[in-house]
Parts: sequence; structure tokens; C-alpha cells
Amino acid sequence: MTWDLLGQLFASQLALWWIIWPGILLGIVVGFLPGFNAENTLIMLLPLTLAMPVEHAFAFMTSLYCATHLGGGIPAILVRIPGTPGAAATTLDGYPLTQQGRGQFALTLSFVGSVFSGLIACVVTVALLPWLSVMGLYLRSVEMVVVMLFGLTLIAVIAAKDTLKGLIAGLFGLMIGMIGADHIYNTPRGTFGFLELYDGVPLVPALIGLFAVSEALMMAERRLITGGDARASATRHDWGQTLEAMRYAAKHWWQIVWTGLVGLVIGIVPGAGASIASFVAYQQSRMWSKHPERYGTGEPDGVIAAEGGNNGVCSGTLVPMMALGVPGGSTAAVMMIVLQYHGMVMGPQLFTDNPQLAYGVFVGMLLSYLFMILTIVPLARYMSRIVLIETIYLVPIIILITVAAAFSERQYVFDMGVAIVFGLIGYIANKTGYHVAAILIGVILGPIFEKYLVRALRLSEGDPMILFSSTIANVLWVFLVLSLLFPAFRAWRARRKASP
Amino acid sequence: MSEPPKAYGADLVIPVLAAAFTIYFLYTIAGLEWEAKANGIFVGVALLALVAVQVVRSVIGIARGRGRLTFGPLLEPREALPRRLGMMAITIAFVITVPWLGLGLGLFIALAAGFAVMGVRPWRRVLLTSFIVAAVSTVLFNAVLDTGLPKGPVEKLVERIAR
Repeated sequence: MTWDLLGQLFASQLALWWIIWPGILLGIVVGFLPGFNAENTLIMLLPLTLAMPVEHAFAFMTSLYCATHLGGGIPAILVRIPGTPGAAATTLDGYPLTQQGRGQFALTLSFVGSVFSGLIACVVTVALLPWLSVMGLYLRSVEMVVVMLFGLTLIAVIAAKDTLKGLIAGLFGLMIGMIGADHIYNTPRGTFGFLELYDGVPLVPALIGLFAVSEALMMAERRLITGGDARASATRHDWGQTLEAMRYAAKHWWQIVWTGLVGLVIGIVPGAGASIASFVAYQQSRMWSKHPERYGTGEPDGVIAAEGGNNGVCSGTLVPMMALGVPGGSTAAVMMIVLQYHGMVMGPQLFTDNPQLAYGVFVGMLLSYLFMILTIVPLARYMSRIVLIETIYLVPIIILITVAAAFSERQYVFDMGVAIVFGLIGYIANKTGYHVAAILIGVILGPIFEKYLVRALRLSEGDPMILFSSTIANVLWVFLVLSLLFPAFRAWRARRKASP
Repeated sequence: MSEPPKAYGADLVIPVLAAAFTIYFLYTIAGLEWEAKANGIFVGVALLALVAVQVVRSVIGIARGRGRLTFGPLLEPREALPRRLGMMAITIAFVITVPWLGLGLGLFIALAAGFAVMGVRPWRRVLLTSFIVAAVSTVLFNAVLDTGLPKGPVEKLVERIAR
């Protein structure tokens, strides 16, 4: 790609500001609301995007998609309810910061982290697209099984203070994710006789129950989210925390860069997605930190890492779609439908036949991020004041509105009941130290994990040793075992240091 | 300072639920082809093994006097229990009645009951807040996002007037 082309692309994408901005605003709102995501919003807006010229449609879709990732972090920080599954890791340190009266700081940090990691992922994608596009080809079913187990193990180790409890929560989620008809013979399993569960456990009600309903039930035991000094700090009406967060982010720029790159790489892997990326980035950040014990208690680097991983995924998901014609996720699949409707053929020839569109997508994404930061950072100061509302108002509003939103994914009243059941499971898990994030990620990964596992086993005619048959998989197995042993090793070293 | 005694009963609720579900799942896949049950066995056996470890850990903890088989943490603080149970009952009633009442009326009644259970007073504030939140939510879900949530007498009346 030449500099001339790059300049032209910037100019042409900048001219689409009038379509990028509404996409951003809608994306932030959609990301904020649990139950709505880029995928179902883009499906609802198909009549609009199909009627637009292809460049306009893509600018709108990508800006909306990126903004949902940013918007999902807002409720995760303010009320511990991730707007999207990818923001689950943001709750770990974002919400404790809010409880300390530093909601404005946490929000600004998440916005800056999201935007700059997204920008960096875009730049790297544009520069390395031909090489990145073939990366996904090296990960076959065997490697994907280990990648998912590795991701789940990381989450179990990070999210719960007790590794055993974390693993039980993760595998329980994975079992729940298996409910429904199997992929080969379509036989129902574990459905309790409910026809509504034949397609599997609906993800949106599970997310709403595990995070929104359970957290609202927890909130019922106190009058305010913040108290004492923290409340006084949250009440202060100035730009202080916004500026402090921007200074902090500038000082920790390296954290933003590499967590964005982690997100980009994971985004390229089909099926892995933002939820895994944000936890892997968070775990890596904690592992290399000088103060790992602060993670989970309101560590600012934890917010940057989770949001960095979450937003780095945006560019990555589009890479296999553009370069190979294989959508990296469900949102990319919806975008591909729009492109195919307009007669675009995805694959390597797109970059030679229509470089304006192929590279323009990423340049458009870059501009969306720039617009996003200008739009959202000034609002952090006002958004953070939501914590001043008393829980006697918040609890009924959160429970009833999110349960109503559980209807939106499949339009079954049954799904509202599913949200209540998951709410009770989430409440018990929260009260007893089984982290809900591990259960949720298990539920998300369950069907994908089964697909890859069965595919691998069919190739080997049922021999499980196939899971140890590739070098990449074996390296990942070693990492998996190390990630399980690492907390025990660190605890042992701390005990040894403490003993005289 | 010594640690407070652990409530091993509460700690075992999730493992027991997980084990019960796993056994039920394994039962439902018993007669299926190996492809349909491979994943269930792979994950289920690992989960049952972890649950067994957790049970053994709890038994050892109780035997050594580190805690008791109680469920205290799930119910504490006791003064919040009526609010929690009330909210759950209201939510279940909302889900059961929403196909007939529709989102607008159902949400208004459920919110008003919820605010009352949580302790919002006076009644005028309860009703006004419920009305505003229910109206905004109905417009957002039904008119803007077109989620297809059930329409009740209020939505039908508004539609008739709009026509």
C-alpha cells in the first residue's frame, strides 16, 4: 500500500464523518445495554445498510462495532454489569475503583485504553495484513481445543481467589454450555425437556442473570454503591479524575500497546473473541506486574489490560473475513452478508481488485476511534455520577429492565426465566467465591469447544491422543499446566519470604 | 487475630449443583453415539473429580475445626433478606404476567412493587418513578429497538389512538 493511497483513504473516510458519528453513538448505547450487541443491532439495521453504498455501509458497521466494545465497559465499571461479554474482565478492577469513589478515573482510563489499543491494532493490521491473514490457518481443531482450555484455565486462575473454585466454576459453565442438541446427530442433551433449550443455553439471558441480576441482589444489602470518603470523592464535580486518568494512561502507554496486540492476535483466531482476549490480556498484565496482589482490588493497569484486549479484537476479527473470506466472529459474518449483497468477493483478491475498500475499512476504523475519544471522554465526569443514586432505586430498575432485555435475543418469555435462574446461580457464586466470569466464559465456550473437540476426535477415529499430536498444541498444553502451577508457586515463594 | 469459621455448607452449594447437573447430563447422553457424548464425558468427569476434591477439602476443614457445615453467607445480612426475596418474587411474577399485561403495564406494576419493597417512600414518588422508567423502557424496547416484547392493553390503546 502506497502513501498516496493511504492519504486518499484518509480523505475519503473523513468525508464519511456524518455516518461514522451516528454509528459510534448507537454503538455506545448498544454496548451499554446488556442484551444488545453489535451483531443483533446490525441484523436489525440490515435494511438500512443494504440500501447504502458499500463504503458507507462498512464505515457505519465498523464504527458501531468498535463503539459497542467501548460501551460495554461503562456499566461494567459503574455497576459491575458488563454490557457485552468482552467487558466481563473490566469488572474485576473497574468496579472496585468505582466503589473507592474513582469512577470517573476508571471510565476515562477504560476509554483511553480502549481507543488507543484499538488504534494500535488498526495500524498494525494495515501494516501486516498479508501475514496476519494466514495466522488463523495454523490453528486447527486440535489447537483450538487447547486454546479454549487454556483460556478457561486462565480465567479460572485469575477471576477466583481460590484456583479450585475457579476451575469448578469454569467447568460448570462449560457443562451448561453443552445443553442442547449435539452437532452431529441433533439429539437433545440435558435440556430438562424444554424445547427452548434445544438450540443451547441463550447467551444474553445467561450474561444478564450472572452479572446484572446477581449483582443487583448483592446491592440490596447496602444503601449506596460507594460510601464514606469514596462518596465524597465521587460527588466532587470537576475534571480532576479525567485528567489524572489521561496522565496515568500516557505514563503506562506500553500496557495499552501490548494488550491491544494480544487482542489483535486472539481476534484473528475464529471463535476465540473478545471475552477470551480481555482475560488473557488481564492475566498477562497481572503476571508481569510488580504488584500482582493489587489486581482485583482496583488496579488501574487491570482496567487498561482488560479494555485493551477487548478492543484489540475489533481489527483482528475482520482480518480472516477480508483476507480469507472466513468471518472471525458472528458480527463479522453479518458484515460479510452486507458485502456479499453488494457483490464484493472476500479473499486475497479483494486487496488487489479493490484496495480502497479492503484497506479503507481499517482506516475508517482508525478514524472511528479518534471520533470516539473526542465524543466519550468529556462524558466520563457525568456518567460516573450514576453511583450516587441510591440502591433502593437501582436494584428494581436493574433487575426488571435487564430481565425484560433478556427477551430480545430470541423473543422467548422463557429466556426471561433463564435470566432469573442464572441470577440465582450468580448470586450463590458471588457469595461463596466462585467467580461468575468463569461460569459465563464456560457457557460461551461450551458449544464452540464441543465442535472443535468432536472434529478432532473424528479425525483420529476417537483416539484422544490427537490432542497431543501437534507442536503448537503441545506448547499450549505446557503453558496451561504452568498457568495452573504458577499461583501455587508464587504463594509458596511468598510464604518462604515471610517465614524467618 | 484468628480467622472467622468457614461456612462449608455454603461453599458446597455450587459444587453440588454442578455435580447434580453433570450426573443428569451424563444420564441423558448414556445411550447416544460416541460423538454426542465425548465432550460431556471429557468435561463431566473432570468436573466430578474437582467437585470430589472440594468435598474432601471441606470434610478435612470441618474435621480440623476450621469451620462448620452452615449456609450463613448466603442469607446474610439478615435485614436484606426480605428485600432480596421480595425482589425475586416480584421478578418471577413479572415474567409470568408479562404476556398478558404487556411490557408497559407489567413493568410499571413490577417497578412500583419493587420500589415499595426496597423502601422508597412516599407513594407518590414510587408511582411517578415507576411511570417514568416504565414509559421510557417501553419506548426504547418496543418503538426504538423493536424487540417484540409482548404488547398489553396499554400498548394496544396507544396503537389505536395513533391510528
